[in-house]
Amino acid sequence: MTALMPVEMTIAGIGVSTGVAIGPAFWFRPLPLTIPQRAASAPAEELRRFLEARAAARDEMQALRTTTATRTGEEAAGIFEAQAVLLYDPMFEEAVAAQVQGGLIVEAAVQTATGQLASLLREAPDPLLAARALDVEDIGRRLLRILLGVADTSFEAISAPSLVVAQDLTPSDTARFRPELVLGICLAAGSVTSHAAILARTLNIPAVFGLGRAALDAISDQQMLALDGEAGEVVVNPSARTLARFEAVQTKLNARRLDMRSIAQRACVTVDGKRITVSANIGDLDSAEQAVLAGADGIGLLRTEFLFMKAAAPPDEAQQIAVYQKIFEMHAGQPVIVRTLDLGGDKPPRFMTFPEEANPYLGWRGVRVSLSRPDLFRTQMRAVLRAARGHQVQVMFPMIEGVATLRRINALLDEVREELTRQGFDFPRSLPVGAMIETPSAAILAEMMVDEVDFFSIGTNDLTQYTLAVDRDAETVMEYFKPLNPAVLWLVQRVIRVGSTHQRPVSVCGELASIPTAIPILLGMGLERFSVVPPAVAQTKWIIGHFTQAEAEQIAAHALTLPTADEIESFVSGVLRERNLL
Amino acid sequence: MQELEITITHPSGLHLRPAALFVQTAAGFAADIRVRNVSRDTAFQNAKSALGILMLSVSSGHTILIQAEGDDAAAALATLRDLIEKGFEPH
Repeated sequence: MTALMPVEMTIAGIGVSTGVAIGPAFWFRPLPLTIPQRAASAPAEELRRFLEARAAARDEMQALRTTTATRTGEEAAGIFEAQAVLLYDPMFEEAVAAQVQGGLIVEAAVQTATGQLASLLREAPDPLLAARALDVEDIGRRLLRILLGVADTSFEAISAPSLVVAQDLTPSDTARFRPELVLGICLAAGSVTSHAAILARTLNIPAVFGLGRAALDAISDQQMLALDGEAGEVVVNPSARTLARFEAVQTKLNARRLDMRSIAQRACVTVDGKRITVSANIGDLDSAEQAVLAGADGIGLLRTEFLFMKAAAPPDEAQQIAVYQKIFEMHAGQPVIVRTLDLGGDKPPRFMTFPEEANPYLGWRGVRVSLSRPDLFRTQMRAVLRAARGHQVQVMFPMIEGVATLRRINALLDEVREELTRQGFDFPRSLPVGAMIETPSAAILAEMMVDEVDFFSIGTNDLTQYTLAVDRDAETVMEYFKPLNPAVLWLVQRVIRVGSTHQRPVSVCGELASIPTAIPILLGMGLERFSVVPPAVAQTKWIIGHFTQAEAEQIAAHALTLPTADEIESFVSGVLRERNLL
Repeated sequence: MQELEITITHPSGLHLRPAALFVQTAAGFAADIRVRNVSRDTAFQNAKSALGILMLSVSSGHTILIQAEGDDAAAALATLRDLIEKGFEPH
């Protein structure tokens, strides 16, 4: 007997979390919550039950917040805090009270009030409000469950790893997930900025949203599905050929992920054994922690502005010492490079008025502010030096355009050292001091600066802007901003050579260091120190680990003969694809 | 009853963080405070309700009218004005 082959069907949606998933469908349907048929007590009594349930709901949300923070992270956990605020919103209470006054029992009152508020939010023109409607519904269901004394068992039926299929998933729904049983998520609705989307990405669960109810209704429980989170499509009843295609992609992605994860925590070496440092760029305590978890070899750039931006007054020495110490201790045994205060008119701090400038990027910023405000500089340097005791701390100056400026700021730092010595403080006497190379002039004059610094750090983001005379944020000229621009690469190579000739370590802390097509070029130019954002540490180490120094040199040499960024990009992409690195 | 008409210039309008701060600040006063979106000609909402504020759909550039009634009404309006003029940076 030949069985009818089920038809393969592809449904298109919006890819929300990349990756491939193959497995049986698990239809997630919210538990039916039936409003009881009972006589209403006095309104005051019904309302009292609401207030009681509300307090219990808050306790539940607090617990969920804690477990989610541990399992998934702060970003995902934050939704339960936001929901707790909505839970206690006066408008919600008023809506329930109004229903109760009208003679409804509390269960019906909560259901009606929730429905009203959710509709109101959905009707609002702002798409952000529609997302909050889901939160209001989630809260309403939680209250109802508490009032009815029903436990949430909706995910308990999932017994084997499956692809979850649902109309939508509220934060409370996702809190019940056991990630090891959820291979993928397919939603009929779902917003890309929703909690479910954040969760999917954080847990690396491939997900496609916006598939539409009609299409999803065609899927039965346990039916075989293949999902591509990048392409944003779901195939129902995949044929053998389709399955093979999906499986091939899945194998490749899995291997890559495992590879990267294991490499991140180890020291980075090229194929022929050359040790390359991959550090992290951070800007606050959270990212300092992320850098540790990401396997960074140290901190290549500690942005210090976070201490100064929101405060009504600049932080004093003691406050700064406390924060720096925390960060240094988190990275004990590793080098930490602190960038001195880099404020500018484009994003002024709260405690200071910046002059109106036609070109804040060409104006009073970085080291120029420090030289005009030596009080701020001194306090920061005192704090950094004192906190640096027992750690491998280095300091670097932003926005250096020439030797004279460098000498002036170094002189100021010397004064701080002398003052601390006079006062009897213990601090690392030979703390390395470096200059950021972010202006074309600094790149050009690098050789003349070698006597003034212990190291160089190339800030390629700003260097690219100034060299190409392009504002990277301006939509009108976005096409001109290309990080792999030959002029910028040429300047970078120049600085690396100067560093090598004069034994001054050179690192690249701009975005270029984490761009896959730039990495082999930088490696080939002789760069030994990369500093990237924590999430990029693994991939950067991984790519570097696939080349010998000689191969990288050949790639760099050829790249530097190409006259346009697109040609360079295209050439290196080809190389990376050949080696399965792209 | 005291009132204050003011334009919101924060890029997020009265959403997300600014809305949360606005509501938190208002909730700190005993006075009854209500607010409406003049630019969209909406009805008044309770200034202490996050849902209410969200429903006003205040975008950047919209003008709102805040009314406060009670012992600390003047202080409430002054504090809210300060919060809005300082771009919603928290104290």
